[in-house]
Order: sequence, then C-alpha cells, then structure tokens
Amino acid sequence: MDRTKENSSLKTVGIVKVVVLAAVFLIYMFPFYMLLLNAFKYKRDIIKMPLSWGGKNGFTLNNFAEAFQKMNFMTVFLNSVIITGVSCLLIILFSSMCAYIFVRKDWKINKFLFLLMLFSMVVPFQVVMIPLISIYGGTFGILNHRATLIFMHVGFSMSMSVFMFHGFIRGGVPIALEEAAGIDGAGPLRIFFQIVFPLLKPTIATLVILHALALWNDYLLPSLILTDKALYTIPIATKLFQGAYSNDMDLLMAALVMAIIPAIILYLALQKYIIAGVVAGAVK
Amino acid sequence: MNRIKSSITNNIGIFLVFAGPAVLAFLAVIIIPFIYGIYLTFTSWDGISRNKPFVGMANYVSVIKDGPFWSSLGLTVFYVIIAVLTVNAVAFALALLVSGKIKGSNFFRAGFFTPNLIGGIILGYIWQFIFKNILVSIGDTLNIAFLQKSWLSSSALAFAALIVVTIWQYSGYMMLIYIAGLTGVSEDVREAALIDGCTGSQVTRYIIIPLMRSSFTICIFLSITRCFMVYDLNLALTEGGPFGSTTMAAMYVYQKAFSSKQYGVGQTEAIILFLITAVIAVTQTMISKSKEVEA
Amino acid sequence: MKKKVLSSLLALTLAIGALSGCGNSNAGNDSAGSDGAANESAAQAGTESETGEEGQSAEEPASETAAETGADFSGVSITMLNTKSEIQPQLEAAAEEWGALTGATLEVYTIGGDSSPAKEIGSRYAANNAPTLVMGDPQDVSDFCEEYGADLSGESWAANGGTKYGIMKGDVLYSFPFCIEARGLIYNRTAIEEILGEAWDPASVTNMDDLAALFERLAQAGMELPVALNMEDWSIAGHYLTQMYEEQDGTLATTEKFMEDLKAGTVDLTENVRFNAMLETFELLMEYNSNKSDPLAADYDMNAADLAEGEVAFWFNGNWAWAEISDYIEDGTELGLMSVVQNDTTGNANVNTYLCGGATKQVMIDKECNDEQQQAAAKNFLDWLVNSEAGQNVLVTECSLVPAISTITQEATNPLARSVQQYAAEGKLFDQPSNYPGDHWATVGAIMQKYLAGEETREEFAKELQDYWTGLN
Repeated sequence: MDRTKENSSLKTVGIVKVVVLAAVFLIYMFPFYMLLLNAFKYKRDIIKMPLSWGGKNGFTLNNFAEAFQKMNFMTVFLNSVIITGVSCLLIILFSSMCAYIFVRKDWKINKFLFLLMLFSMVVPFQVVMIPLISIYGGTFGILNHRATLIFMHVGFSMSMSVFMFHGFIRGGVPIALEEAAGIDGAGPLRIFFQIVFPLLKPTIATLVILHALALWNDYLLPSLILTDKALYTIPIATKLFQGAYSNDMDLLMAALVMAIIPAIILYLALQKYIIAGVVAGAVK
Repeated sequence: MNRIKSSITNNIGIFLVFAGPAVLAFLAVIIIPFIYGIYLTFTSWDGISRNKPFVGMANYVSVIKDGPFWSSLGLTVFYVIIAVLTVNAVAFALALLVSGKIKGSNFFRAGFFTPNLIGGIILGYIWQFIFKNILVSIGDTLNIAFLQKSWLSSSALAFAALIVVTIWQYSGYMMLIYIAGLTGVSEDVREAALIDGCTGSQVTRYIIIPLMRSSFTICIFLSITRCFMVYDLNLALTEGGPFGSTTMAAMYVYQKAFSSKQYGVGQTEAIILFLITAVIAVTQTMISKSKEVEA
Repeated sequence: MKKKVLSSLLALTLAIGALSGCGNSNAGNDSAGSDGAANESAAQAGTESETGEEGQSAEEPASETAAETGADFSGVSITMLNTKSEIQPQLEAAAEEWGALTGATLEVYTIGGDSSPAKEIGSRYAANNAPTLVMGDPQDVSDFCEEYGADLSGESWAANGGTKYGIMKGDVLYSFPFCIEARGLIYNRTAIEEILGEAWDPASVTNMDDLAALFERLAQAGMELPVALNMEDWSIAGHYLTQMYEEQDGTLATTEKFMEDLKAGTVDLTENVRFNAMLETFELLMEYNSNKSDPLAADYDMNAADLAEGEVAFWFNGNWAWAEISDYIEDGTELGLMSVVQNDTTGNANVNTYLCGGATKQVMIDKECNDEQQQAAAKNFLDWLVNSEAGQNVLVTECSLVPAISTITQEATNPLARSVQQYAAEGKLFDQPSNYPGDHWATVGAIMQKYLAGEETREEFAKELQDYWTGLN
C-alpha cells in the first residue's frame, strides 16, 4: 500500500513537472510562433494585425521568394556554412588540446596564459574592434578573406572553449587512465586523441552547438572583415531588410525563418551526442 | 645537465604542439589589438581622421567628469545583479527538470534552447515588435490593463523588458551547460543518496550542487561578463530609451566613440568597463574554482 | 623576462598602429622615417602600391571631360557606401547600368539600421578600405572631407547647385549633394476633404490657430486624433526641434551664430520667440496625437499606414517617408507637405510658408584609399547621374528623390517629392547647417522624449537643452 501511495505521489510530481515545463515551453516558443505566424503575411497585415492568422490579404510565400532572391541566399548560405563549419572544427581541436596541456602540466606559462585568457573574456569587443581592423586591414591588408575571419573566430572563441574544457578535463577525466597508457609507451598526442578526446564528447557537442550558433548569427565581426559582397554571410545579408527608418518586417521574418532552419537541424543532430554522453556517464 | 635540457626542449615541443595554435590565435586576435586599444586611450582620436594626437591622461580626466557614463555604469551593475541571479536560477531549474526521467525531455530541451538560434540584433527587433505591437494588441483584445501600454515607453517597464528578454535569451544557453554538468553527476550517486533516505531537495542541495561547481563557475562567469557587455539587445530592444533611461554602459561607450566622435574618451570608458568587469568576474571565478571538487 | 616580452609586444603593436590608416604614399613615407624594422616592409608596401597606381594611370589617362561621351573604365572597380538604405535596390540597378556603359564595376552596399554612418566610415578608414563614393550625413562628411575627400570644384555640376548645396571648405567643393529633403507636416488632403465633406486648401492654414481650428473640426467630424507624431529621437530632436535653430531668422549665418551662443551659454531659450512658438505648435500636435495614450510607443510603420489610409490627416515627417507610405496608399490619395505653422512670426516672417530642408545626404569621393583612376570613375558615375537621361531617371523616377542640381528638370514622381521640389523651386527652403554635433539627435532626443511623454515642462526642457549645449565645451 505504501508503495502504491509513493508511486502515485511520484506520478503527481511527474505530472506537475510536465505541466510546468509545458507552460514555460510555450512562453519560450512564443516569439517563434509569432515569427511563423507573420512570415507568411503581407507587410501591412503584419503591422496592422500582428496576431491574426493570415490577414486581410491572405497568405503569401512572396516574402520568402523575395528575401531569397534579394539576399542571394545560396551564396551567403554557403559562406556561412564554410565559415561556421571550419571555425568550429578548429576551435574544438585547438582549444581541447590547449586545455588539456593547461590542466595536466603545472607550468608557470600555462598558468599565466590561462589567467590571461580568463581576463580576455571580459574584454568588450568595442575595445579591440577598431585596433583589430587597423592591424589586419590597415597594416596587413588581409581583410575580405574567409580565412581571416575564420582565424579571428578561432581567436575570439579560444578563451571560452579552453575555459570550459579546462573545467571538464579537471573534473571529469581520470588521470589514472592516461598514466596507464603512458606506461604502455603511448606518446602525449596518442594519449590525448585516443583516451582523453573521446571522453570529452558531451562537452564537445555542447561547445559545437554554442559556438556554431554564435558564429552562425554573428554580425559585427563578419561585417567588419567581409566587405566584399561575394563573401557575405547570412546575418550581413539580412541587414538589407533593416532600414534607416523602419524594418521590412515581412522580408526580415522570412529571412529569419530560412536562417533558423539549418541551425535547428544542427542542434537536433548534436543533441543526440549530449544524451549519448548522459548514457555513457551512467554506464561508467 | 643534458637530460634536463632535452626534457626542456621536449616540454617546449609539447607546449607548442598542444597549446601553440590556440595561444597564437588568441594573442594575435585579442591581446595585441587590446594593447593597441589601450594606447588609443591616450589619444584624442575622433575615430576617422588619420591624426591621433597624443594627449596623455586627458581622456581619463574627462571620464571622471562624465556623469552620464557613471550613471549608465550604475544601471549596468544593477542590471547585472538581477539578470545573473534570475538567469542562473531559471537555467538551473530548467536543467534539473529536463534531465529527470520526463516524457519529451528532449523536446523541452530543444525548446528552451531555441532562443539561441537567433542573433542579438534581430532578436531585439523581434522582441521590440512583440512588446510594441503584439502585447499591446493582446492587451487591447483581452482588456488587460498592464499590457495596453507598451512596456518600452516607461523606464521601469522597459528595464523589466530587458531583464525578461535576457532571461529568455540566456537561460537556455546556461541550461545546456548545467545539463552537461549534471551528466557528470552519475545516476548511481543520486540513486544511492535517494535510497539512503535523502529527499529530492537534499540530493540537489548536498550532492548535485557541490559536484557541479565547475558548471556554476562557468555559467556565473559567462552571465556576468555577457550582461556587463550587453549591447545588441540594448540597442535593438530599447535603443536606450525611453528618454535614455535604459542606456547601459556598453551602449553609452559606443555612442561616445562614434556618435559624439570622441573615440579616445569612448575607448577609455570601455577600458574602465573592462577593468570593473574583470575584477568582479575573475574574483568570482578564482573563489569558486578553488572550491571545485577534483575527479 | 616577462617584462621584456611585454614591452616588445607593446612596441610591436604601437608600430603596427602607427602604420595603419590609409596606405597612400604620404602615410608610408612618414612612418618610414620614424623607427623600427616593421616600418621597412610598410614602406615597401607603400612604394609597391604607388608604382601600381602609376602603371594603371599611365595606361589610361583619366579625364573628366570624357565622362559625357562615355569614357572607358574597363577593369576599374569601385564601391559606394549608400546610407539611404531604402533606395539600395534602385542604386544597385543604376550601378549595373552605368557599369555596362563604362566597363567599370560599381558595388553599392548599405548599412543596417543598427549601424551609424560615422562608425562605418571610421572602421573602413581604419581598415584602409574606404569606399570610393562615401555617402554620409552633412555633419559626417563635413568632419573629414578636408582630410580624405577629392576636390570636386571642377565638376560639371558644381556650378548648378553643387556649390550651393554641397560641403564647401573655403573655395573647395568636397561633396556631391545627393538629394534635397525637407520636413514639415505631411497632410492627407483626400482624407481631410472626405471627413469635412468640403474642399480643403492647405494654404488656408496660415498659423497655429488655423491649424488648431482645423483639428477641432476634424475631431468633431469623427477623426478624434488627426495627428501622428513619431517618437524616434531623430524625428523629434533631429527633425522637429532643429527647425527652431534653422528658423531663427532663416539664414545659415544666424543659425550658426545661434548655436555658438547656445554653446557659450548666452541664450535663454524660455525667452526665445522661435523656441516658444515651435513648442507651442508641438504641444498642439501632442494634444491631437493619435499615439496620445502612449506617445513613446508610436510605431513608424503604423504612422505611415495611418496617414496613407486616412486614419489620421497629418504626420510630422519629411518627403523620404514616401518609401513607407507607398506601401499602404491607394491610388488617387492626395498628399502634400506644409510648414509647421506657428502663431508668433516675430523675427522671421516666412516661418509659415517655408519648409526646413536642404541637401541631407552628401557624397564624397575618397582620395586616400582609391587611386586616380578609381576617383575618375567615381566622378564619371556622378556625372552620369546628373547629365544623362538614364541617370536623371534613376535619381528622380526610380529613387523618388528631389535632386539638388538645377539642370535636372524632370518632375518628381511622388506627391511629397513634388511638394518639396516646388518649395525648392520657389526658394522657400530654410537652409540647414552641416555642423550639428554628432550626438545632438540622440542626446537631445532622449530629453525631448520626456517632454513628449508629458513628464517634463517646457521650462525644464529648455533648461536641459541649454545644459546639453553648454556641456559641449
């Protein structure tokens, strides 16, 4: 009897949890609902009747067609994919290696650099913005290359990634495993890639999601580095719909929907790995 | 002797291979421009001209006298305190809720994370549209008094709107980091504690939270720094208004540098913003890092 | 050890800093003389680019007279910063058309609403990557044209409005006045006549009392709140309040003197006729503001739609608002612009018949980051806009602008532009100065929003405004 009582109270707790979650979920999704609602409407209906499903003038796919064409969507999409993809790859690789050596080697320079990275995360972008372009544009003249932007993305993302890997390597990767491998004669690179790196999967997945989305949506830095239209990324291209006096909400919303879809796909694909991490942790 | 030497070269090799690329990119992109940026605080550059006259400490003196800067900084501190507390509380609660055995937890996770799918400026415009058009229209339809006037036209409510959107924007992000941390606390430990007669809240308080310190360190650090730097959202949602009452430090600094064409002063104020944030954020991190449980 | 590293790092960054800026020959030579090995490479880079320039210009001696006859700029590629984003598609099309004629490529780009022209231009110069044609607000261009701008005094259009509306420093003309814009009360005549049930002539409103009477009649006939007021800082402070400076006696010299006096703190605004008359009218507009219940929540698009559809009869704005109005308007609706009428005309008898306006966008040609040939191509593009039929068509028909150059005689295509064109033709525009402080609209805008929201009296507003000006010193 006790057990059934306990079970039923557990169930109520479960139900309450789901209800709370569902309510919060609806609030979180509200802007997206509004986005979807209005992306298929004419501009005057968006302004005059933001809540109605459809409008005086009915539904339209025009916004998408027009935004697609005006943004030169295929080109900017490809640019965004290349820049985000390559940057993420390099960020994960370099920062995990760097964090590993920072955790495992108690060198003074490591401590100094780690501290420097910590501080650098606090630097407002505005402080380095103009200096950055004076150096790379004014002195070296290497703006308007995807590689330059990727290099900068890597540089700017390094601190946060090292910081996160540092925490998780210190807290979650047992040194005993590495020592055993070291005795077996494995070099540091092999130890890292065969033993440590696979253990970092949940953190990697998390970081890839966080960085990919941040880079995918980044506007300010790319707009400073890539001034050649052929190199524009999606956020730079959407600025076309933000006028000096008012925004073209119809095109802006359609462009947003198009920009969000790949991000959702990426997120859903990677979420599996985070859950895989949960399972792995439980098994261990 | 030789042995020591070879081990030093060996160590340098390891350092270069592992940390080399990261450190190089980091130094080249942040530290060097930062040093040049500090140099610019000693000039009265207007932001456009080739002339960058050296003026020594003059900018620092004028910053001290710049009242509106300090009040924007005060407002920013207030905002940071409220935002950091609420964002982390909401994020941690969400993480706990969705990482239990709950139907559709993946679905919920994805939902809470979606705010990160949109970039700052555009996100601000969408919320502006919501506060200005949609909520007012809901208020009118349902006759809800506090929604009939736009939140953005009163200083207190515009500030509240900033907090609401900040929570909405960052809690999903922080939630993800908390979830990653929770996975580090294995089910076994939790179940063992539950069997030993701990209540759910005791498990959270005495088992989970201490084991998740590194997640807390990271999340609090990230939320402090981000909130101190808030710019995109500030610009796109309230534009500092109504009547300049929600102008945060980063936005003020930006206007000083580019609208008022006093780049030197703006840069100096940005450096001061940096110093304050750095002291607060790094102190917090050092303290909580030292309390982290090592595996 | 660490100190050494740090100090050499510092030295390196300073050296790099000293070198940045536009890599023209002067910059290269100046810094080469000073110090360090880093400079050598820069000096080399400098000479390289120099020889590059010479090689190119030897190939094709650019001449301005060739412009009309269709010069050949094959392979030359130039860029243009367009800060009127609403005409971006039209300008892109124009660039293509001109490119096909001359063989050059012109890339037009614009900036979003979140960026300011000053920031964009500043960062482009920092990157040594300035566009060839730089469009900016008068005060922006005025600030840096002497340093970066090419001399345009010899251009074909200079005498026909160029020197009148462009930015002059001494005898040198530095910019092409891209368009004339004027601000005032936009009226929807069709809506007014419909509501009143009789013909209505905007000329019948000769002062503020007439306007108040009209508002009252409209209100009684069913249009309770016949005015739309924007809440944006650029609109209330940048456009409305600035009329007060510009209408002191209507001459540029007085306006500039007045601003000097404000800075010096010798003006008492509460005693100023124009300030009081202007704000009295503003208070009238506030009283009949359709956004009255929540003035700071006014939505620009909503205001445009309301005016176009006749929900309101008046909107304080300028002819550029056609871009938004045209999204909502039905054919046959008659619109126009009229003065912000005032009761007290002491000191300036024209305030109720003139508009405030002038060349609000100026196009400068950069001479530091662009070589001779690119500059020549840019000049040719401007020339094409002014002198060819296709170019005039772009300005007037496609972009709906009011050109500042008097040789362009095409009639404007939309009612607001036609209105402004007429005021300009009759000489009924008060000039605007090009030296407003860069933060005037934002800072004063914030103060004026308080006044608009009814949280501040006219005296308090006057005091804060005076404090803003004296604080500039």
